[in-house]
Amino acid sequence: MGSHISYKVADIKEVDKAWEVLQSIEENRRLIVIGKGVDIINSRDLDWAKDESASMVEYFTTNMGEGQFRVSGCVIEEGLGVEFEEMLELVTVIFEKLNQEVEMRYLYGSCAFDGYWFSLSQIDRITDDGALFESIGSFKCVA
Amino acid sequence: MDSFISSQLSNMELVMSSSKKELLVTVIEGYEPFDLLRLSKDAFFDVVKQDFPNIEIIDMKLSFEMKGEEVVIRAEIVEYKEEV
Repeated sequence: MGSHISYKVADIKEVDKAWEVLQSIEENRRLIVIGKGVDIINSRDLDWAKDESASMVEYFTTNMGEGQFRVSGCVIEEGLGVEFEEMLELVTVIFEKLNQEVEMRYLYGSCAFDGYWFSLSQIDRITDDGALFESIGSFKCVA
Repeated sequence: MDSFISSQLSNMELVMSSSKKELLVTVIEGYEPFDLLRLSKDAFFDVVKQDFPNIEIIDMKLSFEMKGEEVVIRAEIVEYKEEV
């Protein structure tokens, strides 16, 4: 179990738009190249899962519109071409830009918000000074 | 051309015979469902091969299952060839 940011779209109808916005953000494309992009479960994932296994269909259906970004895993990987501190800032910018296009919610109890990984300033920027925090009850896939 | 066809048939036989062999299944340690979204299925062929170094994996099915409180990725190799 690692430290994650858990997030989701406020309106499930916006999930595919959120995915498209994420793909268009330059900072995210840098992270996607190294396998660390910010992603969100969307209808494409569900379509793919239908050819793979019933358990994936169930998981993607249940957790549609949600996402997790694990920060603890970034520490142990070497040679990514992005320093860890820079990665945290890139992720912060990605969520800031996503928030401008799609109304998002962030799990208040996300382990990555404990102050060890992101600075308080970055947490404020990601969550719009806490306005986008949401409690655990409304999240499905919580690490 | 004959040797090419012969070679292809040989490979097919190997693939077909693989269905009669034992089921090859592993849990991909250290990865979570969202790693699959970020990396794509293709990236996991090499990861799974580490558990089965003596085969060439042609196709595998991935699924999620609960392991304790965590969701892990389970790989079932459905088509493979033995490497000589």
